Amino acid sequence: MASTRTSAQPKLTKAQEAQALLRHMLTIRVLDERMLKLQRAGRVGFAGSATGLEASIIGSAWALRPQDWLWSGLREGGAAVMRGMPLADYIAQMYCNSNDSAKGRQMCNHFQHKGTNYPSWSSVIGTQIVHGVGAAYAAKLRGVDEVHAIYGGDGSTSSNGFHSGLNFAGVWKVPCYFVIIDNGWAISVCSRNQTAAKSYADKAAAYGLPGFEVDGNDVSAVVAASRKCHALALKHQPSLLVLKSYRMMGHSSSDDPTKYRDEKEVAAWQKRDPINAFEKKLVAAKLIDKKHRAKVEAEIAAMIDAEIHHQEAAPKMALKTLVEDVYAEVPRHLRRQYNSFIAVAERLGHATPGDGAFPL
Amino acid sequence: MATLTLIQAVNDALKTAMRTDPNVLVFGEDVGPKGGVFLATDGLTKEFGEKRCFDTPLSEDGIVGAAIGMATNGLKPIAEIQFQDFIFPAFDQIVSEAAKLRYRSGGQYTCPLVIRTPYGGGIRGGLYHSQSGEAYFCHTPGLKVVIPSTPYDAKGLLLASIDDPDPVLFLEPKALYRSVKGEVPEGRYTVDLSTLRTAREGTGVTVFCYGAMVPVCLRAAEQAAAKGIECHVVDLRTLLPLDEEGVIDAAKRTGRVVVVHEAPRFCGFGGEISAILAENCIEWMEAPIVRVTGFDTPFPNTLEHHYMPDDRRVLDAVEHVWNY
Amino acid sequence: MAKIDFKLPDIGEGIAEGEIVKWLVKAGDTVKEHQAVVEVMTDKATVEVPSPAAGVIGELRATEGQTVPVGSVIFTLETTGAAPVMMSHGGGHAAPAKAAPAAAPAHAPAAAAAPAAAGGKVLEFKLPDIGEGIAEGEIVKWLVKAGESVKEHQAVVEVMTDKATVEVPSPANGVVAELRAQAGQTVPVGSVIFTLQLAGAAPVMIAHHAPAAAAAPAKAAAPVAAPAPVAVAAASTAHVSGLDSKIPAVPSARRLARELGIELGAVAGSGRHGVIRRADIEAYAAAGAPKSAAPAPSSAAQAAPARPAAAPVSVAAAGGQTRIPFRGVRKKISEAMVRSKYTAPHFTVVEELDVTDLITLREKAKAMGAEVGIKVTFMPFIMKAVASGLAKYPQLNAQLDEAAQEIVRFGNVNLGIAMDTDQGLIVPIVKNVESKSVLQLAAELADLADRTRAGKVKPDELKGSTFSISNAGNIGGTLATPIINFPDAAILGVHRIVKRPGVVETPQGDKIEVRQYMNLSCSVDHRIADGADGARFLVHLKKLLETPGLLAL
Repeated sequence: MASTRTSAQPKLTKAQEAQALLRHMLTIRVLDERMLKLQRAGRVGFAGSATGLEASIIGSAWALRPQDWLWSGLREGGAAVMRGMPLADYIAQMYCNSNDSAKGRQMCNHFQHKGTNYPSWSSVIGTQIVHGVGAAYAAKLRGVDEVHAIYGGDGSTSSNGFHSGLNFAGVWKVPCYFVIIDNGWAISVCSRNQTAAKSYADKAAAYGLPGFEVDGNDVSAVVAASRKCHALALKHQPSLLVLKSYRMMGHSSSDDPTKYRDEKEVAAWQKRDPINAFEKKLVAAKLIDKKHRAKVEAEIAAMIDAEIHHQEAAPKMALKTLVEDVYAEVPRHLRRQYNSFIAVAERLGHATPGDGAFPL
Repeated sequence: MATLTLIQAVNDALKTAMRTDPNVLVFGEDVGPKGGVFLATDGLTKEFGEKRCFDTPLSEDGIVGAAIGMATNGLKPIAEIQFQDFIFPAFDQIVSEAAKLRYRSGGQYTCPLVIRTPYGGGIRGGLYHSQSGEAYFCHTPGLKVVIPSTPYDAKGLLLASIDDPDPVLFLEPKALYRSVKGEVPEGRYTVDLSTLRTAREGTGVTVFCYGAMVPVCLRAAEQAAAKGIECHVVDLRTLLPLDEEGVIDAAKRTGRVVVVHEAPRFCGFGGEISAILAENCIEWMEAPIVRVTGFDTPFPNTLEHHYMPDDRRVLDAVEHVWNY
Repeated sequence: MAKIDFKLPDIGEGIAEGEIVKWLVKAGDTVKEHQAVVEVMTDKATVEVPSPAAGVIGELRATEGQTVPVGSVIFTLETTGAAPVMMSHGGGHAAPAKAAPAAAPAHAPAAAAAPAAAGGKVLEFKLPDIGEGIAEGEIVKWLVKAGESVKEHQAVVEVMTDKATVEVPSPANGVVAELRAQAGQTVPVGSVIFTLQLAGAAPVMIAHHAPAAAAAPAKAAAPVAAPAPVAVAAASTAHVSGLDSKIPAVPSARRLARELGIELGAVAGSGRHGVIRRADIEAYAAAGAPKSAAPAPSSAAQAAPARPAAAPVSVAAAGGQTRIPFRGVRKKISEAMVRSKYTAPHFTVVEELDVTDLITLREKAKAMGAEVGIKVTFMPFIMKAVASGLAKYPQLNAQLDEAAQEIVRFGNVNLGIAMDTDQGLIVPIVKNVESKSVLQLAAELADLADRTRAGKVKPDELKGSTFSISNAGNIGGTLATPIINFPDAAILGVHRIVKRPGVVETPQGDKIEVRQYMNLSCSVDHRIADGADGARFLVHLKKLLETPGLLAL
């Protein structure tokens, strides 16, 4: 639903903006590193990282106002944190515990946050692209001031949703823009094999939309480009922004990229690490000192570690959550199914207070 | 009160909803100025403008996906899929997204949309204008599946579906669009979802049916009555969530059950009714639970009238269970 | 503070094992939370596994180069702070602390199932299928004791199967933990016979799909699931339940029958293929007793309005054939006889008795009985003799409980006495014959016969026989091979008494006299008893009945 926040963001100085961008990128970096360690230690089931993509993610979302929506493709959780999703929500979702706003229903890494207009997304690639367009249409019809930023990866450009979504957006002229983060790989399928088009940005023309390609590792360039797309969206001109970057890690904690990637390619992109580049730039411009980064990383790590321990103490998941939220109300047939189940669960000692049977 | 055909009742419902709620909108292929290939949306663009009733590109995936997006952002979209046979590109959006949005988001995001589509045979449409795919969707928790068989129910159920906070697949039996007329009140009224309707009372044999099979079963019931068999004909109306209690009570009433649907037999909705009765009231059954269905084949053109259950086949089944 | 046994987690979806590539710490090292402890290689990737908490490394439990299953403990850690919450193995979520929500648990849940002792896992060794399709084996002799060290391939136990006696070797090096079966015990293939504390890696064992409970591939016939061995009457068995499941009846009929306490076997079905309809139960209940087997269309019509009649009619067809529907009483008898004859391998022994003295005794007894209004036939004497014979040969007063694989011998003698009535063959039962006098038996028999012919016998008088007697002698025939009243072990056939010249031994030598002879035939279930038993039983009856005064003993 529409946020009641105003569209104006607090005015930041150049230094403040730079430091904020760096902090947000570092947050992603440290979060990813910690989540992977949790997964390797068997404390969470699954983790996917955005290492190397921080500039694309943070930079492209920087243009968004509180009332704008961010439709996630996969790795934009860090952007949601930047926009105000609490770390507690993020980590609760990684644990899929009873604090999770999704009530432990989704697998790890599938964040959502209503308050900052970060909708729930599925594991199906590309479906969200059409949703974003429909939601943008709704904003247009209802006359509310919203821009919908709709994200996807290079793989998603082959999906049905990409085609339907961009096509509808062009015909309907809705307040949205599409951000395709081309990180070179859709699991093990490289970008080269995803399309014969020379650039993903070229695809925009097929739908009558402007398309832009930008160096996704240059956060300043990304910020500038997405501000441009945001402005176009305000005029109900959708556009396609393609950010060229590189997925430094595997697709997820289950993927070993050394099996299908050339280490030389990885090494080359490592030299272009977006955080290193930005830090260097800020130090040179005397906007930060050399110790700044380590200090911020340590602060972030401490916050994350504290939150991890807090989330590990979450209460057990209520068994009723198994059958709630399928519909607005729990229909009779589901109540009966649950009641049969809980009778056995109670006998086996799996039930906790509050888990009891539904009235029929 | 007016006497309307079923399609007119649908049109009436759409107009009623759009007049009372500015967030209701209608879109799909050819629904705008043309008014839809069956004229279901006739007059809507004229009355409500192109922003609220409009044509979309030829993309069922886009139609339903956009509807989902609209539903998450304050609108009540009514998407039309021109023929149920063409719904499959949207299957992913319906099953993966619309049906699961509330559950996967812990209730943070919901999907109050309606997908309307003409379904079923009887117009010599062959394989791709005649399918009854309700079973695919009944197997999807999170969806609602509603099928009217009378003009009164068409309007009332459609208005209830539009009100419903969850995604509803509204299947309209195209064979009945113009062949069935009935009294339809003016203005707003709703028929509750998940309630069955007793189309004919009887104590001999219970016949469960829906959609275009309802008039067929009523004709068969008349013929059965002439032979001394009084049928209790039940129009299920909402397949999901089903009025299970009502179904069980209706079956216990006679102990002899026939289920009728056009859709193919294997894994059809009749199997679900049979299982529900077997689990809940087998000891009231005086005879096997018999299904009268379409064949397990794609839908044929020339032999359509043999494919679809007719009153003769239904009567045979009724007599079989009666005499068992 | 807590001691954690750190188990190798499932690093990628569905990983089952990992190889320890390199330890990055030693025992005694202090580690921070998230510090990498070991490199592990899986199918999917080589990864660093971090410590779940700050603390001191206890023991390294796996060696470099070793492949360990997910879930096995690879190191122990003494934590300096709170213990972390570990995901349950195979689970998709972090297992919450078992203690109160706020506090960290004193003992991490993951430690609970850590394998005991030093070294590796404990293997549960299941009896393998030693020969093709062997279902069980008998433990002949253990060749090792608990606590003994064994080497891979070393013989551990001798097992005897249908096919052979074999030595079963240990699948790996280790120490025998527990012997789980005893010498002389027969165990099904797939059950655990011993456990082995492995010294090294677990051997790969073929997954065994253990057959369900029963060792022998039994027919799984319920011991008493026989339909009524005689048509209209209810089952004459000691058990009640399983019987009705073999009789076709619509569900509503079953429910009503159950509610009214009516045995389905007592009701004739008017539905197609002889299925019992609810109307048939209602009609039976209304009539109050076993009725004519032919379904009564009129009563059925009353029970259910406008129900079309379905009486079995014989249709005279062209060509001199008459066809009668094979249902009702006839069908019931058929089912019972098929069941009996094709389940129990019958053999029949026959004995010829000189009943001349019995006849004399009976005349006198008849007169005595008349004084008190009791009709005395030969049957009470035969029953008495049978009771005595069954006391001496209890193997004939028995049943085979197939499900339990046990022969049940009854302590009392309940005799089913087959009677031919208008409704067909009915077998009412006289109970506890061993404790009743001949006169008492005569009285009871007469009463039972009257009521049976009048159709007034009670259901519980029709079930619970331990042995049966079939007397067709009054109709005719000197010999028969009766079919057992299943599931009794045996049945006695009593045949016609005939006068013949016979040889009588006297002190003066052999004389020819007119004597009266009667044959007794005894059919026995050879699964339960043998020819000698049957023969001896008859010899005993002969002794008693030829000199009937002995019955008084």
